[in-house]
Parts: sequence; C-alpha cells; structure tokens
Amino acid sequence: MNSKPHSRRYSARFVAAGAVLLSGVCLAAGCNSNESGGHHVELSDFGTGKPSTAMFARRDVGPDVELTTPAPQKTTPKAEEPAAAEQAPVQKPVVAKPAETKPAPEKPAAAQPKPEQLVVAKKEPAQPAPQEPATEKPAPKTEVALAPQPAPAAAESEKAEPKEDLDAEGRPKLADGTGGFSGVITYKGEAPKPKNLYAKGAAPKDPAVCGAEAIPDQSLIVNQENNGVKNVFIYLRKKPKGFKGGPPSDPLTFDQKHCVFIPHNLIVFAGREILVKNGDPIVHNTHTNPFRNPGFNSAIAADDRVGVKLLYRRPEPVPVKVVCDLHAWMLAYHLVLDHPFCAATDENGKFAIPDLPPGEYEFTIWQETPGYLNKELKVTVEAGKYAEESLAFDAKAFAQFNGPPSKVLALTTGQ
Amino acid sequence: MKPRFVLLSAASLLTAVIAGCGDFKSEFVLNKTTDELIPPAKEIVETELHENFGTPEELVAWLKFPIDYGDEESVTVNVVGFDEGAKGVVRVNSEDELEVDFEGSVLRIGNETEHKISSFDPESGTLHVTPPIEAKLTPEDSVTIVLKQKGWLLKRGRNLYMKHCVHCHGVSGDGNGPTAQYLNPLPRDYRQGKFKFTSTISTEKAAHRDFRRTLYEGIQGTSMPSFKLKLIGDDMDAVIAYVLFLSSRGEYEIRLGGELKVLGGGKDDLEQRLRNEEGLTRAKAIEEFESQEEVSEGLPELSDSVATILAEDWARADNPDVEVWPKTPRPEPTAESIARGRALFISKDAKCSDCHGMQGYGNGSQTEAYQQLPGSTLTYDKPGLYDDWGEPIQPRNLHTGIYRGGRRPIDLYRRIYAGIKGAVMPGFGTSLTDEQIWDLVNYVLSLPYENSWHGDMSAEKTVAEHTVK
Repeated sequence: MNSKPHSRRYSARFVAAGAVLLSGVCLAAGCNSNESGGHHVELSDFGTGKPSTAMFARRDVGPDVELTTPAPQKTTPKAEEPAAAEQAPVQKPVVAKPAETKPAPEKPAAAQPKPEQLVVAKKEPAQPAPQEPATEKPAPKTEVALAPQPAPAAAESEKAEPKEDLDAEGRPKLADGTGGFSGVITYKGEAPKPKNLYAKGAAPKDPAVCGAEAIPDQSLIVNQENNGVKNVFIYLRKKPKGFKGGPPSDPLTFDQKHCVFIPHNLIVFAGREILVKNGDPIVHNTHTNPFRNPGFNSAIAADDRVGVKLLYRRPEPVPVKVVCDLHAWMLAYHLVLDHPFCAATDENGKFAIPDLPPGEYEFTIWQETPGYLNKELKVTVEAGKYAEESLAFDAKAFAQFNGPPSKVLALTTGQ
Repeated sequence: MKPRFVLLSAASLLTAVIAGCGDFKSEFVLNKTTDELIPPAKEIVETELHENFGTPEELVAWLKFPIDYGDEESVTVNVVGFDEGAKGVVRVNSEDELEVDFEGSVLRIGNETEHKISSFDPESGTLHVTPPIEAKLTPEDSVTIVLKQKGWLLKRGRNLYMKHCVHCHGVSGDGNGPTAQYLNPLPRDYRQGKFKFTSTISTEKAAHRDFRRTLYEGIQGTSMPSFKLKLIGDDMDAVIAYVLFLSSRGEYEIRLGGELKVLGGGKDDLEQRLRNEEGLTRAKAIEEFESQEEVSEGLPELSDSVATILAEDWARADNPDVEVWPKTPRPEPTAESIARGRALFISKDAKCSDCHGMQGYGNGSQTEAYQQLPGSTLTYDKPGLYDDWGEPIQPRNLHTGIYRGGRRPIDLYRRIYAGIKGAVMPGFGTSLTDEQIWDLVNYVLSLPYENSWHGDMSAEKTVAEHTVK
C-alpha cells in the first residue's frame, strides 16, 4: 500500500523525463528551425520529354507546308503566295544591322515589290564617333490600323541610297579609323528541316486568328542551302571603354501578327522606347521578366497600331524572353544593351558589326535554345577592315541543356 | 531510487539545454538561387549579404535603400546636479520631456562619450548611467539624451516581425516559416521584391501605402490577418521597414547571384562548359572565374550597381506619378453598365474569360494550357497557370465575393488597370478605356449576386442576352 503510490509517482516522473528528453532530441534535430518547413521532394523532372497526359498535345508538328523558315535569297518570292506579307519580316536585309532591327513592315508595305531586300544600315559618313547608324525613319507616332502606308517615296529613296554604304560583300562601310567584326554562323551536319509548332488552322487557341497562318518553330532556324543559322545574337556584354553614345530617340516597333511576335529577335538600345503593337483582332498580353529592369505585363488591345510604350532603362546581361500568357506558344527575345555593337544573324547566318574602335574584344554568341554558344569569343579588330570569323556548331551545341544528369534519389523507409 | 531520478532528469534537462535551446538562434537562410552557384561565387554572395545586411540579431542598415530605418531622436537637457562620488548619477532639469520613458536610451556628453541609462527617476530627474562619467559635470553643462538610436524603427520592426510574422513568412522573409506548409495559398516570399496587390502601375513595385493597407486590412481569402488592432502608432511603419529590408536583402541576393552567373559562376554553366570544351578542368574554370576583373577588383562596384538598381526601383514606387487613379468617377452599376462589362469580359478585346471562365468561375481555357517555364524554352510539366514563384495559381472565382486585393471599387479598378504583379494577370490600363474598366468593375462586383439580377430574370437568360449583345 505504501509502495504503490510511490512507484506510480516514479513512473509518472519517468514519463515526464522521457518527454523532456524527446523534446531535446527534437530540438537538436531541428524540428523547430525555420528551414525545415515546406520542403517537398519533387520526383518528377521538368522537361525530360516524358509523355504528357494533357488534354491536348503541347507541340504539334503539322504536315502543312506553309513554312515561314529559310527562304534562300536566290529564290524569287512567289507573288501569288498569300503568305507573302507575313514572310516579309523573315526576309531580313542581307547584313544584320548594328543595334537596329528593322520594324516589321506592315502588310501594305510588304505588298510592294520588296525594296526592303536591299535596305541596309544607312550611315552618315560625317559621323566621327562610332554612333549607331540611323537606319530607319522615325516610326510615325500614330498609325492608322493597317491603313496603306504613305511612304512609297521614302522607300525608293532608301533603296537608292544604301548601295553607297555597302562594301563588296554587302556589309556596312566602316567609318574612318574604326574596324568591324563580321562572319557567318553555320550548322555542322545536315541542316534540320524547318518545322511548325502548329500547322495552318491548327492553333489550339483562337484558331480564326492564330490559325490563319502556320506558326513556325523558331527555336532553331537553319538555312537549307548554306546551313546558315538565323537569329543568333552576337554582342559585347559590356560596352567598350570610352564609348559614349545615347539611345536613338525614335521608338522601335515590336508587333504581333497571327499570334507570332514580330520580330522574333529585337535588339534594343537601353533607354530607347519600344512600341508594342498588335496587328491581330484579339487582345494579347506581352509579358517580360527581365533581370535588371522592372517586368512588363500589359494587355495590348486588338488592332492597336499606336502601340504601348515599353522601356528598358538598363542594359540586360542576357536576352530577355517575351511571352504572351494568352497564347502560350508566343515567344520572342529582346537583347537590351547600352551600346550598338551587336547583331543578329540573318537567314544566311551572316552578321556584321561595324564601327568598332580598334582593339581586342570578347564577343558573346547566344542562341535561344542552348543559351550561350560561345561566351568569350576573342576578336582583334583593326582599323579599316572587318575581322572575320566563320563559326560552325554541331547539333550538340544547339541542343537544349537540361542541367546535369539527375542524381538517383534513394528512398529509404528509415530516417 | 531518488538520486537516480534526479540524475536522470538533470541529464535530460542538460540535453535539452545544450542541444535544443542553445540551437535556437535566428539566422537568415540562403536562397536556392545561391545554391546554384559554384563555391567561390556562393562565398561572394554570402560575404556580401553578411556585410551589407548582417544577421537577424545584428542588423546592418544599408542607407542606399529608400527605407525609413528610423532617425535618431534626442533631447538636450541642462545638468542640475552631478554626484562626484558615484560619478554615475546625474540630475537633469527638464520639465515636459521628462515624461518620456528614458529606460534603455543613451546619455551623450559632447559628441564623444555615450553612457547607457540604466534607470531614471522622473520625480527627482535623477539618471543612473553606466559606465561612470569620467569628466566632471557642472550645472552649466548640458547633455544629450538619445531617446531613439539610429535605426530604431528597423530594430523595432525586427522585434515585431519575430513576434507576429515569422511563423508564416520565415526569418528570411522567404515565406517558409514553420506554419507555411499548412497554408494555402502559401505566404508571400518577399525575396523577389514582388508584391501582388498594389496601387502602382504595372511596371512598378509596391508603394509604402500598399504595405500599410495590406497590414491594416489583411488579405481576404488567405491566412493573412489584419493587424490594425495589433500594430499601432509607429509599429506598422516599423514592420513595413523590416519587410522592405528583408525584401531588399532577398532580391539583392538573387540579383547578385544572377550577375555572378552571367560572369560564369553558375553550376549548370560550368557543367555545360566542362562537357563542351576540351581540356578544361574544374579548377581552371574556377580560377578563370575568380581572376575576372569584375570579380577580383570590381566586386564592390558590382555589388553597388545591384543595390542601386533595387534602390531606384523602390524609390520610384512611392512617386505619386505612378499611382493608379481613374480619370473618370465610377458610373452607377446599372444593368447597362453591367451588361457592357459582361460583353467585354467575354470579348476578344479583354479576354478575361480565357482565364476566369465564361461565367467567371475561374475555369477558363488557359487553366488547361501549357505555359512556358521562365528563362527556358521548356514548358511546365503540368498545364495551368503559374506565378513568378513557380507555384500553380488559380484565376479567381469571381462569384465568391472575396477579393484579395480589397473589395472597394477602386481596388478592383487597380487590379484590372495594373494587373497583379508576379501573377499572370496583365494590366489592362494599356488597352481598355476608363469607362470599359469601370464597366468590368461593375460586372465583377455584380457577379456574386448574379441570380438576383433584374428581378425575375434567370442567370442563364441574362448571360445569353449579353452574349448576343
């Protein structure tokens, strides 16, 4: 009788001591630390190409032949093709222009007998400093929706002039005392065939508008004849020391037509306004998530030919991806720099960067699928001539890098 | 038996003290973006963070940021008496200021020496200070009593944050506190510097008033409560200062890491290079990274430029020019206005229904589409919409009458005009007129009461009619 309550009390104390001990262990193991909460083990791997169980396929390579990819220079544009107007932006000038991308021609402009073929950087010879050549006429601030452009005369004058500005190989002539960097980027091996994301009429959303044309897969555009790779950015990551020059005051145009961004690659001088326009009779939202600039996510009204102002104040270290959340396949890239020494390759894979002060440079070569093709291409530029470089990359270099091979995750039933 | 029990309990207590309580120290954790860096780059980020922001216990206020850390507040008073024997007792003469609680403040003589005030007797005006005062104070002298030290607001904000906010938002402001895993939606991760419900235009960050409003009203439909009864006076500003501090710290970490990645400090980049370039070893690549001009000598410059960008962005947000205000007042929510709003809601001009659904139930077609992963050409594995934090999000069901960003018409106007930052909702201020936005507001506000529209008219009939219009 006497010992029973004692032992009961003892056992109670034992339990209490055990609880204290357990709590100590728990604290030691970090149950209380704030890092432990909310972590989940994600066993699926993004983008490993696992078959999806979605309602509709993510990508659809259509059999339709309406392709907007490499139309070699030689082939004469087929006038009867209804898609001619849409192909116009793809057929860029022979030489990529520095810090300048020609605004996508409006439909009526493109319907003219293609004077754009020869339009190249127009340079003022009197300019002493390596300034960005003013290539385009200031875009009209207000445009009437798809009204005929009152600019045939201007187009003619542009056509007449540029020949004086080109050298024998179709590159912009260099300003006095400067050099340049030019070359060609090619695909090693058999050129992959151009593909469509969605065939004509097969767009999964707004088929009446987006399906009017096939939506091309622009992730890697290789010329079928000379293996030139289109839409590769070549640029200096930092502006050369001593370069002084501000952004041009006239705005750039970034358009959308048939649910495709035009142009796909836009080179922007930081501080230069971009007018985001919409040539579709439906609303789009243009969504960027830049690195050093505030993000932009604004709806662009149907048939907005005036444009919504988009301004990058600061240069970006890598091209900025532009998407439209309403049409998930829409994709474009903005390269924002604080100098004009950059280019995007044309459909023959050619590029030329004029007016570089002589010296040694490290160029970055960037393509949207793999990212960097070459991060530090060393180039020595001498006054009065172009430094030339022919670069060929194989399929491996153009492949999407999905990170290092994933580690095997061991699941144990114990701790 | 008894000695054994005592021993046992003592041992367990000791374990608890050593292992448990001793470990309970607040520390900022690193973002996973920093873990994606190669060791030397990670070290740089860690060092810079520690130097520029300190630890939760020893905060460093970087004055570059437009955050109100709390300026010094002090009063200058005349000395009445000085105990030369004790040297630590000063009697001051001040009639009205003496009502202030002097405990914990500092006595400053001239501009040099500072003495902690350990106690204050308001009756006699006697201060006890430590350490003792070396100099001899005479009644002609005056001393400065620092009531609030520089940075007091941030410190107070830290203390309040640790009390009220840390459970969900975490010590580092990463939205990963101990309770976070039980919450839906997840608490905000401040470290991207993005806050959803703001009164600023779509490209700008949140203004100070937006934090105040969120703290004051809470966020309906989420676990964020209202703090209007809890944070009174300066307390709310103090918490806001600390949230801004955490946000700046977090975004600085992400951006500095990003800049280092561009310079070749990313693990993935290094792996890719090792795979592609022949003759490149890991050690050589790391040495290359470290010997770069930007990393070796230009690091302070790089760090400074990252902070400057953030500071500029935060400063712009409080500029009155970027606040969203309607140009016209809200029209009456008449049947016509609601009908116009309804027509716009499903039209090709606004496409609200693509996400929010034809009936506004948040089940539009975009919830079934694959979105692109940011910064990659891949898409998400599962269809649906994702926010900038990579979490799946639902377009709002507009029938519930719960509006996270506030239920006033102006709040809805601002949501439509400027979008929701960090989420998919774009700003429509660029594409719709004021009248159109107001019509949409009227329509959205009417949706919870859809069935009581126009008296006897059924909802289906109403919708059909509007579709025809």
